[in-house]
Amino acid sequence: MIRVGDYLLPYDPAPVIEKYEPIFEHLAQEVDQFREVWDGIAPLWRPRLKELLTEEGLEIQNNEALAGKYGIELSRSYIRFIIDEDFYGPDCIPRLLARKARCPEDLDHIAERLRDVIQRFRRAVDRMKEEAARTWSLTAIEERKITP
Amino acid sequence: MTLRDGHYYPYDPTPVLEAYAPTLEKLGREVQTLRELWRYMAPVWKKDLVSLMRDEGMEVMPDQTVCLSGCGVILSDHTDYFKAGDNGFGPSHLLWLLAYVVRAPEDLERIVTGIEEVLRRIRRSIERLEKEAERTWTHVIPEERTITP
Repeated sequence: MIRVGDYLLPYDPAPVIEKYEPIFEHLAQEVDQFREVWDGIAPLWRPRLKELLTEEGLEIQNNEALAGKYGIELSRSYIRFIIDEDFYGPDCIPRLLARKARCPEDLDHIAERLRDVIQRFRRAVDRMKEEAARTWSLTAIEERKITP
Repeated sequence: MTLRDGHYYPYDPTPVLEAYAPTLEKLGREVQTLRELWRYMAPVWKKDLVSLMRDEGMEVMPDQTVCLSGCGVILSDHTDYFKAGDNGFGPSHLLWLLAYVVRAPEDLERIVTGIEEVLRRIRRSIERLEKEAERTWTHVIPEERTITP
């Protein structure tokens, strides 16, 4: 038995941590970008972003974007994943190995579900940008006139 | 009659105490080690361990007692470590056993053997769990480690 944090595991998790840590760190970096967007989005556009996120199948409540039991927290203070209704930081692998992931497929499944949430978020942001570009497209450089 | 700790015994229990006290103390230390393991076992694996212990023919009770044919060990943080029938007792309760439970040396031998057998089967369950976990995670081997952000 090998102690990892508070718990004992019946196998050596070092290779697992080494393999999956970069994957979750990368996901955390993406979450970091989105919480920046969510926090700083112009108030005029926030309701539209929320609508688009909902259209993409995400449930937005209390600064959380959820697809079922998986999601991301959009808090200003933390980068956190929501995995099976529990909160996990970017360095979550040891905790996941103790509480949720019994085999590599479980970890792959968790990463996949988080990736899906991030993709939906990204798609919503892209759609909003396209929509905004269309909305403002008639303000082409040639047509810009300063009319006080 | 020999008076010991407020009870009269129709024999002198001293040689029995001398013979069995070290055995019970040793078994108590083993239980202590298993309690540590049980307490800190990762939740995701605890169910597997319980299944394997049942697979080894033991009963795992809701009060965290693991039994086989009436003898067992208590894995929760209880003052009693062992179980013989409905009686719970600790490593230092040998005289109490002689007063209330054990009438003949065979009875005591049966209890000790029963506890030893339970401990052996628990250890075997843990070894099987370790092998199972190793097999489960085997494809995350160093050669295959690839950093794919």
